[in-house]
Amino acid sequence: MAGPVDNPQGEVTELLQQLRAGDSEAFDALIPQLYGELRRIARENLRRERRGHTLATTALVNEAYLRLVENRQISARDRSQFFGAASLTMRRILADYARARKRLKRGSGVAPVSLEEASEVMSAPEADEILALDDALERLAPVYERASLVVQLRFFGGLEMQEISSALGISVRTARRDWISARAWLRQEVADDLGVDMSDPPEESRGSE
Amino acid sequence: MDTDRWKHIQSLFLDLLEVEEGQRDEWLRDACAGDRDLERAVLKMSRGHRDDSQLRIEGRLLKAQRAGDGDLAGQRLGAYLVQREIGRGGMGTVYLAERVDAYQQRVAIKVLSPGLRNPELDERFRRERQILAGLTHPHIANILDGGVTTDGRPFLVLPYVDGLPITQYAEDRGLDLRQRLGLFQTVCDAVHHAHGRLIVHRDLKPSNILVSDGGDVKLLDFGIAKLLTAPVSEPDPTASADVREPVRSAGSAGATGATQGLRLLTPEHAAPEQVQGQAVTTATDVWALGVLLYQLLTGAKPFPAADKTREELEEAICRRDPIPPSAAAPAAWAKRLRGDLDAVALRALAKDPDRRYQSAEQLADEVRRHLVSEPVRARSGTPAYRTALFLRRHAWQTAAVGVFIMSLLAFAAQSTLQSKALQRERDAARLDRDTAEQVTQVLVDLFETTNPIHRPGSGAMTVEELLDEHSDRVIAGLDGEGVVQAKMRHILGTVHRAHSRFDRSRELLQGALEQQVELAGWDDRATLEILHDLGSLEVTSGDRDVGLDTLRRALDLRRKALGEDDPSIPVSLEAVANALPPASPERSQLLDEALEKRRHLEPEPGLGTADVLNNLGLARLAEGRLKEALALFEQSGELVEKLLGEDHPFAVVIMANISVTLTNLNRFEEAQELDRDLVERSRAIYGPESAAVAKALNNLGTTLAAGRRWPEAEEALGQSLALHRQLFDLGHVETQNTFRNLAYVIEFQGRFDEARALLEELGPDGGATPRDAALIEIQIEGLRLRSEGARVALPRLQSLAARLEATEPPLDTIVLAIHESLLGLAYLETGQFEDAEATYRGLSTSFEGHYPPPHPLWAKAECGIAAALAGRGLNDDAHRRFEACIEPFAGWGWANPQTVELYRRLAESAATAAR
Repeated sequence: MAGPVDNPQGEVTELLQQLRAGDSEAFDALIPQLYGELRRIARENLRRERRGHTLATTALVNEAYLRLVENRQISARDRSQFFGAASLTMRRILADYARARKRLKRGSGVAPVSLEEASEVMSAPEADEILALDDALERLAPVYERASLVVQLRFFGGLEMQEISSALGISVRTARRDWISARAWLRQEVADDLGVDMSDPPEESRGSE
Repeated sequence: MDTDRWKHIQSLFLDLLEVEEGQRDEWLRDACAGDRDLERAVLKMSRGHRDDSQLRIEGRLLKAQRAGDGDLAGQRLGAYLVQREIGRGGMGTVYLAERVDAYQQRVAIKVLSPGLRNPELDERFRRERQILAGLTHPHIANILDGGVTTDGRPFLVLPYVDGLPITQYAEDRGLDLRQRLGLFQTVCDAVHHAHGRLIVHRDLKPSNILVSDGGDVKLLDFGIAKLLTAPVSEPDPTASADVREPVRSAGSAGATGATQGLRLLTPEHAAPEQVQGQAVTTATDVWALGVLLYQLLTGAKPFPAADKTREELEEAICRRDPIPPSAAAPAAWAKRLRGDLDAVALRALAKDPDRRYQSAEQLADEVRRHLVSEPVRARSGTPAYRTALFLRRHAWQTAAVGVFIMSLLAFAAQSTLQSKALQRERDAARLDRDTAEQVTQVLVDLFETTNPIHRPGSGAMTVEELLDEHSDRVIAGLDGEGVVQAKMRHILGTVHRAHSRFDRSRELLQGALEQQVELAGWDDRATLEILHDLGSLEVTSGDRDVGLDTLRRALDLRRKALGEDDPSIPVSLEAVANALPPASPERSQLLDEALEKRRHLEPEPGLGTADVLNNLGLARLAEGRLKEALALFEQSGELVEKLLGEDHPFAVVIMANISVTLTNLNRFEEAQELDRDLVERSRAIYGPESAAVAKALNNLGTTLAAGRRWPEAEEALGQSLALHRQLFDLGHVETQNTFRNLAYVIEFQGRFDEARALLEELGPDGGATPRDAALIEIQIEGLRLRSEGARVALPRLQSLAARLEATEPPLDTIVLAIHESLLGLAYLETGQFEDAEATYRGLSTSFEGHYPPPHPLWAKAECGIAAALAGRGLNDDAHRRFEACIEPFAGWGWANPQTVELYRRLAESAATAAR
């Protein structure tokens, strides 16, 4: 596990402060911390048989926030930074799970994911969707980065429009417009990518939560 | 695609959404001015917007809401100061606030999500708020106030309820089924109250039903869902489309405002008619109550969203039957859910609103019916159900628990006690016959050489006491007279044995044996007599196996050394037979041989024959062959009365055996008359304050108890106990036996506290032996079963099992059987029929060999199995078993008439169903 064990709370809070002070390397240092914690939470959900929650990014990211950020009175800016980093990390984790699920190599390299774990987290069709979504977002970013960030924050960080607007320094209306259009575009991209099978039921069904 | 192109597409797409549906195509063609690629791209994007089935992962990613945004904290809303956010749900955000004017009331303020606002909603909001303000019920958190925030969001002020969602409360507190159902009934009552005012909740779910620390239930958000959705009377054409959004929380997507409210519905709790956009009625709340009941019973949801898409979830809600609660619940609960509660939950979750319970009240009533074991409407009619209900409804604990235990003990005690009494008689007789002269001489010497014997606080010593206290001196005084000394040791050994001083007895008998073998060798009559008595001692003191070996050795040696016709052979045969398990075939065989030898030795049937007849009677009694036993006892009794007169102790013992047999044969009148007669005879023979009278009174009380003549039984046992306590201390085996019997009889008259006090007087370590201690403990649990019910008693009976297993020396079959039969009853009473069946089967197995069919104990165990099978609905099996066991059981004097009646009706019901 890449995450530190000693005092993750203090460390994450400190990194957020460094980030605010303009230390952009602090962002990179945040990622492994978050990666470890988010996967731990996802696995705990698996263990607690709360499989329905394993992909609920809002809950995962928020729980990581509660666990990792020492003083909840931190500034809104720090909060935004945290959720920005967390949504990126969550996206990487899900892509890693999806690749493991599809037995593809090439992970983000932070920590290996077993097929068994990945299979518990998501079904094969879901893994396909995650990978297609990740690819589509990659394609969207160079074209229209703001919209790709809105989607990333919404889908993988679970942020509300208001939070997204303050995180990106845009109006709620703009955030919502970006969200609606980017989501619509992504849906079509994913559908094109995956072909016609989309309307069939998922090939696997898992236990209830 | 480049950035500008993308921006262009996006802009056209967003504008297109503002255009009225019918004019979009035309508008777009104009806007694109012949750029077909642009037109296609915009259309594609708008298809993506409408069709959320293409990215099903969305639903799972956006599943939950997050708490922790405090943006209204510190603000003032009307008369309230917002303190902090306490939750976030489908409606928006909930804050804790305090009234800042005179009242200082803590409230919860629910601020609706910004996207929910529109003018139409505002108007309806005001109207509905007034209706809801009139909803006052102790378990409904009614709206206190409301308004609009500065940024235009409507808010509602509700009483602050410091509690947990009902399901979480039930989990955290580890509530049992009954407690959960109690909470559920409260919820139903509150919902019914609102329905009476034509207010439908529409979004009942655990997070809207909070339970405070003190267990107080409060329903939140009553009618609020309606504030946010189109009225039932004016179906919103877009509602059904909108409700088909992916599983997702409010405000997560920028859908159009007016119909967004429906998305607030929690899909996992939504009824089919809600999913399908049809009319919402009170039946919709009944569905939600069904979902809640299901969750409370199983910890799971009947239609979990899990990783389902919205369509799959809707499909499940509208078309698929949920797994019955008993199959979804943890194994430990499954059995209690199977049947009634399965049926009730599934009825509430009927797809067709008309097929659900008519009202929340009716649902609550079903739960009540289940709790008091009345038939639930959902299951009326099936034979298996009637049988199970019948079983459950009968207060099983009023069945013959107490008396049954007494009877079991009676079976166990008879053979040992009765033969012990005879043994003492025989010891005395032999004392008279063989060595009277020698012993008399010794005693005369002894009396002459000692000072007058005086013991403080009592009169003169009996000869036995004298011998007991002076054994060593007597033996030492005989030094040099080997044969007499060995004889004296032997006699004193048997005297000590008769007084239950086993260690001392063993020491003396072994000394006697050594001395006698040295003097006369192993072929000597006296040597073998000592060996025989040593064997009897081991049997009496509890080491049956060692004793049996010794007795067999004595028998073999006697056959060889003294010949088959020696009078000691039948004595040996009987002793070996009596040491064998009651129903073993070898026992009867040995006794038959003994009887033959007796008859051969006694041309005129004498006491020896009477003795064997009595022993054979005891063997038949133990096998449950009651009529044969009675005939043998009667023959024996006639002989004894002819030879010794009816006031002889031997005659009294045989009469007692006859009385016990009559009781088992259901002939109480004769039995109790005989017992009363025996009390009188014992008084005449032994004096009014003797152990024999105490014993006779105990027997009379037991017989009266079997005849269910409680007050008379209590009187006899009370007298017996008084006498026992006068003669012995509380720790004496016989005293404790009577004590327990009296406690049963008192318990049986419903005076539980008194019975408990009696048993507690014996104390936790009050048992005379580990066996008695176990019996006291079992009886206390039996009492609990009757007084507090099976649910309370069951766990204690279960944990008692392990303690009984671990008891040293190991407990006999009968004691364990008493416990098992109580456990079986507790399982039956709680409707855990499979466990009941297993328990009774275990009982039946442990009776095997001891109490073969048609022994009443065998029948008792079989009837238990049959009842459990009937409870499981296995009517064929139940019917077959009842056929074989019900008559032997019904004909038994100890069988409780109520239990017999219950079994008969169960048997009938099983027979009907089997056909």
